[in-house]
Amino acid sequence: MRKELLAISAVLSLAPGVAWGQARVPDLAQATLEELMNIEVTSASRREQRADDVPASIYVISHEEIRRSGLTSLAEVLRLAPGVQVSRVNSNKWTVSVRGFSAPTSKLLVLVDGRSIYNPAYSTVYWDTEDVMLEDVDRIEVIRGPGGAMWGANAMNGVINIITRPATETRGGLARVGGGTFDAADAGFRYGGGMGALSYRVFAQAAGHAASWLTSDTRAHDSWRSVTTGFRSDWSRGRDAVMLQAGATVGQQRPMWFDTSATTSSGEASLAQSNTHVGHALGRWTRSSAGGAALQVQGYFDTNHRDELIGLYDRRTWDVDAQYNASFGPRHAFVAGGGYRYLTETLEGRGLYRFTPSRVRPGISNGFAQDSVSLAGGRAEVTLGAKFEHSTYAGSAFQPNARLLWKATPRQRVWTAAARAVRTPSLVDRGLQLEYPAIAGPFGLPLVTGAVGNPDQRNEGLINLEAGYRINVSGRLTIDAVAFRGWYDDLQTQEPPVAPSMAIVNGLPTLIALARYDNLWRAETVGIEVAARLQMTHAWTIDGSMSTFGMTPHAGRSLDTNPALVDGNTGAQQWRLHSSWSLGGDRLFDARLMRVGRLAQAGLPGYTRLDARLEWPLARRVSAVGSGQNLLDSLHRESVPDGGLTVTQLPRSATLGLVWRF
Amino acid sequence: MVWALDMIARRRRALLVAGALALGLAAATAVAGAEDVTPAALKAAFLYNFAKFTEWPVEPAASTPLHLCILNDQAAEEALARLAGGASINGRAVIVMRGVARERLRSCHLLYLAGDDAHSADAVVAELQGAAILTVSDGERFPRHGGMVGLLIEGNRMRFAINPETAQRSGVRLSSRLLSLATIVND
Repeated sequence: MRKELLAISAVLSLAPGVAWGQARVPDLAQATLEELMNIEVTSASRREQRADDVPASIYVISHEEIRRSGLTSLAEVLRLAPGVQVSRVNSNKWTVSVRGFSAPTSKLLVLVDGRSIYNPAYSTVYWDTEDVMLEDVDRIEVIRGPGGAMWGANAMNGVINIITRPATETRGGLARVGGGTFDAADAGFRYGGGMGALSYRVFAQAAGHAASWLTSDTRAHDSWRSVTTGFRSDWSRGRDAVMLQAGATVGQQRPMWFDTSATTSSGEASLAQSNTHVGHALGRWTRSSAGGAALQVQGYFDTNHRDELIGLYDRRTWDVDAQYNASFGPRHAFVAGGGYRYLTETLEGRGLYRFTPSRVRPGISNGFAQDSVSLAGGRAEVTLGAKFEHSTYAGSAFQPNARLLWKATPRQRVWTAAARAVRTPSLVDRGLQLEYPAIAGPFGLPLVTGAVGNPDQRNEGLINLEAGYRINVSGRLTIDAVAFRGWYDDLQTQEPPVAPSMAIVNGLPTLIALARYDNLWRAETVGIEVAARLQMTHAWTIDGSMSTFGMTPHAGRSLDTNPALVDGNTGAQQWRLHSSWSLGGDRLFDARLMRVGRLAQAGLPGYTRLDARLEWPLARRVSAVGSGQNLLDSLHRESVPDGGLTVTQLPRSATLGLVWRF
Repeated sequence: MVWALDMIARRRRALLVAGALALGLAAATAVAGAEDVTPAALKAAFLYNFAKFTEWPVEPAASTPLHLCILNDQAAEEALARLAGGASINGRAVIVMRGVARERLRSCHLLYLAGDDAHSADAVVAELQGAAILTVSDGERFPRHGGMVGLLIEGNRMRFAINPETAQRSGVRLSSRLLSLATIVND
């Protein structure tokens, strides 16, 4: 506790030295335009465009924030948003969750430019194949709470929207090279150009990551590497705009799955390497009409291949979506849309894992509509929306929501929302067949244990209520607070058999005791999330956030004792404090302190993390960047064993790199 | 409510940290120096200057006040009110319309639309088509799609792009001083 208080005061009170090479700032009311255009804007103006009037728990991680974080993986960058829990399992695996249920990450929808990167079969997001070039990410919108109405099923606890920059903004070249103790080596290159209304960029990056640690003197075997390449082009003329993009990532990882082919059910961690390759192509056409309405049509193709110890997985997705926005008079803002997605997923289990059926081809059609009505002379806004989705594999889901925004004073906003959301069962939930080798059981009979999916597995449901408050104090301090309460129903459980059944296996009477997937838990969640930003001076900004979370489970008839269901493997509290300085002459220094709370049920202690980053221009277009992560602890653990992966300890690390912009 | 209080009581440490942070923030706000330019204040200064170098068509009562309006950015609105409230431009009093409602936008002379949402900016611009209102938003895209001025950041400094034809069509006259410092764009 003392260590933390010391670190907080250090981060907060380090006088930034406003005198470090800053020109004297003129009195703005008297300044000429030329003088105004010469003032260094140290936090990008876009950061100030917070979503004041959005009646939802939204936090936007801006381009500037990503750049100054010193982080190189998408999953790590998500730590910057309040209420998001990121746990690094080992060097190449993360679980990311919002408001509980982090094992696995089944209730979060993640989109990159409107394309889903959620893995339906495993009900999770695999971050090791998502190698977006962070320099070309415009922003990441993190919406906590049900996003069902706009984005569909499986957006139960939140939606993460990663949006890349249009090609018009990335003209010119960028080359980056670096290395470090944990992010072993990386290089990236991007070139953007254009002719008239057409802009494009091409990019490639390669990275190698070192292994983490099992104990303080035993290295783990979880190194990984990947190569990514892609392009994006944007064209617009008159009222039409067209965007095209494509990308591919090839990677090799050592996830350290438990090797279930050993004679005991808890085998050693396997050193087997996984090979992955993913690719996509996406096109989007937007047409704005004279009255301010807009029609957007998007289509994409996505392929995902994972060749791993536990199974061979292949997925192809074809998706087409249309969305129409219009205003009806000055009071109504209306959005409606629909789409169709066709997937083919094949999962051939290996070793003891089997999936039945091993292949699914669901067609998912969806439609949604939403209307925002401005009332009381513009002081209030009511939004009603709903999404209907039907999957040929998982059935139907209807997700309505209602929101209210009240502009209490020019500087304060109050909002409230009620929504219903759903998570549909996955290929694993319905078709898993896992049987461990027989061991000696009671009465001298062989006993087979394992787990089996439930072909009648139902949707999980959520009814969520939240309320929020935003205030802007004197234009320099902004605070955004949210409180929420959720009622979950039909949560997935693994039910141990009441009594084993008997079968003849290979001529021998055998006891079979397989746990079966079912939907027998309910739970309530509650929490508060607060984010604040204080612009101390022209050159110094402090921002911070805090979140608390609690879950009350109701076991009902369930016999499942998995602790993940009791506190959702989510720390009761998290906070983050970040100090951002511009030292003049484009030198930038950032320090960030984060605390992730204890996982009570799982017995995992909390940890405090200090990161720092320094950007130092060496020449007009070349900068050196040095950063350090986890500076307070030489090793720490962030996760508990679950889902067959080996959990390792993560080290203190530092990287050094050069960036050249031309 | 009881569950919220109960939860807070149990997480005493979180409360302590939150309290320390709040105290720190409050102290910092009180202590923050006078020599600082927030992005909101800078934006407000630009908007004030746009108003200084623009001529609107002559109105019946020649000395009617100039109305400056901002949508969706409380910080900039606050900064503009502090900077320009009570000032006068070309003999006209400047009034910053606080919390202007969508139905009253036609009474604005300068309108700044904040936010990344291109759709709502387009909708507002379409509604106001033909009115002599200087429309400003963020990004270069805005003046290419019916707006007049787009504020942008280039290499850590604030710039602006102007579409002179759009301004001309609505009867708003922009001084050559503004046009010479701007990036000119077309539809």
